[in-house]
Amino acid sequence: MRSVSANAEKNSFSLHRMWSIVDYELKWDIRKKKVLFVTSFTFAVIILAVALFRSFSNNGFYGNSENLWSTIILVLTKGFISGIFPMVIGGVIAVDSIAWEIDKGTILLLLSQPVRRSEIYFGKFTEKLLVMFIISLLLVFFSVILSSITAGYQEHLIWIIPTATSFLLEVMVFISFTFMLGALVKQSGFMMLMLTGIYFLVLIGSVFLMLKDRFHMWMTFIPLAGVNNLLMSLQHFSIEPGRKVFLNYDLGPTMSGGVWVYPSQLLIYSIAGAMFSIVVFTIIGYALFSRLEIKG
Amino acid sequence: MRYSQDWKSRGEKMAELMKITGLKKRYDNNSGITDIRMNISKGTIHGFLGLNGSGKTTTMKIIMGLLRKDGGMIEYDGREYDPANVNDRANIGFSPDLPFYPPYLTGEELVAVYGHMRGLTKSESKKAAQDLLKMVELYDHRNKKVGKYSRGMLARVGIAVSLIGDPGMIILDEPTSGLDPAATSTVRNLLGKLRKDGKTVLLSSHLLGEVQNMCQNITIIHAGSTIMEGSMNDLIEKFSNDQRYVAEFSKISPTIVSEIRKVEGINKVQVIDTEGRPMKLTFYANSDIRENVAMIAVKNGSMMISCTPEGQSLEELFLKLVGNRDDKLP
Repeated sequence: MRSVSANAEKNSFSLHRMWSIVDYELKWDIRKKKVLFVTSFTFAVIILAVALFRSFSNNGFYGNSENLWSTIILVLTKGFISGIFPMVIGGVIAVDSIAWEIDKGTILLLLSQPVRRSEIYFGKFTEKLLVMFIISLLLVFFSVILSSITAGYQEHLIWIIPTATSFLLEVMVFISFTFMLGALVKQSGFMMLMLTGIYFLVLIGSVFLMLKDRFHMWMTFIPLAGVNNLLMSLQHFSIEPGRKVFLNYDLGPTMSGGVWVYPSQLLIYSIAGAMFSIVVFTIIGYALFSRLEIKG
Repeated sequence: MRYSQDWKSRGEKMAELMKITGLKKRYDNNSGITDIRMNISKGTIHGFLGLNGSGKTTTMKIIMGLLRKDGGMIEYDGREYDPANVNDRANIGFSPDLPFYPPYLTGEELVAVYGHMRGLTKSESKKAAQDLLKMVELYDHRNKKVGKYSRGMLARVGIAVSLIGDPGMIILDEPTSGLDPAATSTVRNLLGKLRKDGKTVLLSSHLLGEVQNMCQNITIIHAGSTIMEGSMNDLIEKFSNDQRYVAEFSKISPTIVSEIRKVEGINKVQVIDTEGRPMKLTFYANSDIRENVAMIAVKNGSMMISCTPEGQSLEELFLKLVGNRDDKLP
């Protein structure tokens, strides 16, 4: 019997095959009008963001609130708003990728193709990243147009770039989570409900943590809830004079005269927290997906 | 009754493409397959038969890497076949039994995306998809979404999907399941084309008549194990102990019937009335007893006009093998 080693060598990760999955996934998203929906939904985010930015700019970051209660209220309102949109967008665009395919049986034909599980999983993930990257570029473009229309010409447009970046990162957190959830529960029926439920549970849990022990930087690493800080910290960074974010090594939150002072390095924590979530969700999701068996 | 496990076909020897030995898969509920053996020859259509739950789909899913085997070996073209290896899997095309196709894609897109996954460039896969859709007579529907295809169209597009990338062997799981007679006929014609083109096909089907007409070789499994394998004609011949005969006489009397019943080796004698007159008999015999029967007729003032053996159908063989078995599934 001939050796299989030569063949095994050819069994390595192939970008061509991964790209074929990107193509497959993109066709689905376009045909199902998911891209259209997400783009439209993003416009809603832009409009809301434009409306909110003035208050962000005027009041500064939520950490500058006068007391803990108002901080929590701000976290719940602005934080919620900055988290709920990426959750809906991430959930809607990702729910078909794993859960629906398993649920409806189309995964059977996909997994029987000569494509590695890793190429399928990361191909699907890459397609979402590309689609959301393009939508984020649209976000930048239309944000400038809309904010100019509503608030007149603005000199300081730098906030748009971190806003789009944070939007992309936040959506990717929810996409990676939805992928993981799909590989775990293998059905799409209640996926959005489940995603929303888990998000709120984590969010409420993090608020209780804050009530109990006040805000700490490690809270930005709480999966899902932590992403709420991302948008605001990026905006804060972009409007904060001096921007000492990469120089300030004092990582602890401080109280100064009864006012929470959030150091700018919250930005680093928030980005790291989002990346951490994406990596953890992706590792768990892929581990589940690679062991998936299609029974029945 | 367990038939000889190392029974070999006496038919024409052809080069072996896939060999499966001792394949095992155990599910959590203790069901699964325990000992599947199969030899698929190059350029043949190989029938894969078994009752529902006997392990056909499990076997096919293991070959396609959808399930992990617990034991046994699969060889392809003389070397070990690893379903987890994409290059090994590239040799096999697959069409599942139910229309599990992405409904939002058009027929052409559907076939082309799988071609792209099999290493074709986008333009190559588009061209190949169009050619295959012409072959399965769906070219005029190539821009229609698969979700709007009828069951018969889905069966045909499934065959096109399994053929994209020109794999060495294709597996068709119940391609005629749930089809009306017209759609079944179209799929049958397609299988005829594949046979003519020398494609190697593993065909699972409940339509035993179709299998008998299309397949050169068959494997019959029951309760997770192979119980019989070989060339179609040899199996039917070897396992049919009794040949069914239809005999026509100038006249039939009770004495003739009684004497024929007494002949050693003849059983199940039945008289068939033709327009109110008994003219024909059917009976089973384990040897060629036509001369004896003719003599009985002459002795009793009658004449045997004809006595022809009837071929045994695959259905009879299949039912004989598994129809009355009370084995519990593993």
